[in-house]
Amino acid sequence: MSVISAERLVKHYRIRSGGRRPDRVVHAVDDVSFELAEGSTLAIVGESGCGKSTIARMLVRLTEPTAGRILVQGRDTVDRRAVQFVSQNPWSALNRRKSIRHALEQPLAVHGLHPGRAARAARVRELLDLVGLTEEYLDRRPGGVSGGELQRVTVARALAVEPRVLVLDEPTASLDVSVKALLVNLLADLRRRLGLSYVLITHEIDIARHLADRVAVMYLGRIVETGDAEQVFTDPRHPYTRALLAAVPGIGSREPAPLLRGEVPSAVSPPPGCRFHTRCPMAVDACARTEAALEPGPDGRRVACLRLDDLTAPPPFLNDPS
Amino acid sequence: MSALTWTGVVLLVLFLLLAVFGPLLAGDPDAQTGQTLAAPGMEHLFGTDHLQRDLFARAAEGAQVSLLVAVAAVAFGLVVAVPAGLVAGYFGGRWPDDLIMRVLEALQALPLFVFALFVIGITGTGDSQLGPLPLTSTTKVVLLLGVGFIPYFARVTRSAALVEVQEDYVDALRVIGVPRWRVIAGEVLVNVLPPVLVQAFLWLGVAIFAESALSFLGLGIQPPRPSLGNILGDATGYMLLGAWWYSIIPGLVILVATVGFNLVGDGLGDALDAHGHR
Repeated sequence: MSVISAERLVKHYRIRSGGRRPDRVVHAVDDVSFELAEGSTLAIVGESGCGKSTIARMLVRLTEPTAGRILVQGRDTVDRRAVQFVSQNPWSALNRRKSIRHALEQPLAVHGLHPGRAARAARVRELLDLVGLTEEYLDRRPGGVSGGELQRVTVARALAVEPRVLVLDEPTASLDVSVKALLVNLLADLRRRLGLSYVLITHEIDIARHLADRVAVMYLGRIVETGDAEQVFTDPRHPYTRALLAAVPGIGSREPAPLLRGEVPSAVSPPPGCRFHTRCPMAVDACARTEAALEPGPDGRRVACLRLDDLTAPPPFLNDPS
Repeated sequence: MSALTWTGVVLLVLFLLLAVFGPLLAGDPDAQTGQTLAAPGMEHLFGTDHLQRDLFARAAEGAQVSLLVAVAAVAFGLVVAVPAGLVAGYFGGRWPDDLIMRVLEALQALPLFVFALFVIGITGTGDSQLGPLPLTSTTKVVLLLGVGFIPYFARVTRSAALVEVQEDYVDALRVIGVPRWRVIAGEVLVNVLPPVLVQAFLWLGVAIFAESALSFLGLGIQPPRPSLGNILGDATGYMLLGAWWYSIIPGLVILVATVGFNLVGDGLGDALDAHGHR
C-alpha cells in the first residue's frame, strides 16, 4: 500500500478583481495524481510557479485542495503526525525568539509524547543525535546558528512526532553548496534508518537525482512526465523535461544549454490544449486544441504528449547549433 | 545613543524622581503654610498657591497622580488592543480582521475630547456608578484615555502581526499540530510585543498630556486631588496678578514628562530597529 497518495488534486485560487469584473482564477495545480511507496522518494521538479509548492502545502494540510483527495496510509484524514514538513528557509521556519530546545520539545508536548521531564529531555537528545547535532545547541536561538545546522534542527523537529512521510519543500535551496551535500546525505541516511518516505519538491535537478526513486515533472500546474527517476533523468521523453534537463550543466546534453523560447504563460489563463505548446519546439496544430492524457508507456513511465510516438528522437532544438 | 535620547533620559529621570519620591519628601499637599502666593524660594522651592498650599508638594503629588493615570490608561489600552490586533493580523484580510478593524475605525472616528465631553456630560464630574462598579473621576479618566488609545495600539499590533505571520514557523507549527490560539498567543506574540511596547512607551507622554488637558478643562481629575492639569487650571487667574510660578511650575513638569517620554521612546524604537532585524 502506498504511504501517501494524491488523487486528482486540483487547486484553484480565486483572485478578486473588484467591481463588476469576474474574479480571476489561478490554476495552481490541475488534476495531479501520484502515489508514494513506503520507503521511497518522489521528487517533484519544475520551474518556480509550476505549482509544486502548492502541492507541498496541500500534502501537509496547510491548504485545502479545491478538488481531489490526499490519502495517508489509505485514509483521507488530517494526520498531524504521519506527514511532516521541512521548508526552504530554516531561519524563518524557527521562531527567532525561542530556543532550539523549545522548538524540539514543542511537538512532543503537543502530542503528549514522552511525558515527564527526564523522558522528554532524553528524546530531545536522541533527536539531536539523529541529525548529528550536540546538546550545546539546545539553549541557543536561531540567530546564532548556521543555516545548515538550523535546517538539521527543523528536520529533527519534524522527526519528533515519528512521521511516516516528510514533505521537503526546497530543503537545500537556501544553503551553501558545501552544506547542501551534507544535508542530502543526512536525508538519505535518515530515510534508510527510519524507513521514511520523502516527497521532495525541488528545482535543483542534481538534488532530485541524488535522492529520488521516482520523479514527476510539472509544468504550469500539471504533471507532464513521471516515472522511474533514473529513466526520466537519463532518457527524458517529454519536450519540456528535455529542455529542463538540458538546462542543467552536465546532465543530458553536453552542448551549451538551449533555452526555451518565451516566458512561462500565466497560470490565470493557461493556454488551451497542451499547456506547453506555446513554447514547445515539437508542437503541431493539434497541440493547441487537444490536451494529451498522461499515458503510460511501455517502460512504466507516463508522458503527457500528443507526439509521444515521435519523441524517441532527440528534439530538434537540442542539436540546433544556433 | 544619540544626544537627543540622552536629553530624554535626563528629563524622564527628573520627572520620575519628582513623581515617585517627591510626595514622600514634601509632605501633605493640602497643608496650609500661612503664606498666600509666595514666590519660589528657600522655604518653598516652587512657591505657594492662592490657598496657601506648598506648590512643590502639589506638583509632586500631581505628577504622581498623572503618571499613575497615564500608566493605567496605556495598560488598559494594551490589554484590549493587543489581543484584538493579534487576531486581526493573524487573519489578515479575512473576516475576523475586517470585523475588528471596522469596530476600531468607528472608535477612532470619535475625537477623544468630544467623547470625553459626552461621557462626563452624562455621568458628571464626580463619582458615579457603572452598574455595581463605583467609578471615581480618576477611573473615568483612565477608561476614557484607555479606550481612546485602543485603535492606535491595535493598529501597531496588527501591522507587526501581519508581517510576522508570513514567517514559515507559523505554518511549521500548524503542521506539527500546535493549535492556532497557541501559535498566536505563544509564538507570534513574543515577536510582536517589542515594537508595540515601544509604541506604548511613547504614548505614556501623550497620556500625561491628554490627562492634563482634560483636568485643566475640569473634566478630569477633580480637586482636592491634585493633578498637573488641574493645578494649571487653578493657576489661570493668577498669572496676571504676578504669580508666574503658579502656572509655570506645573506647565514645566508636563513639558518635561511629555518630552522625556517621547525622546526616550524614539530612542527605544531606534534601538529595536537596529537589533530587531536579522
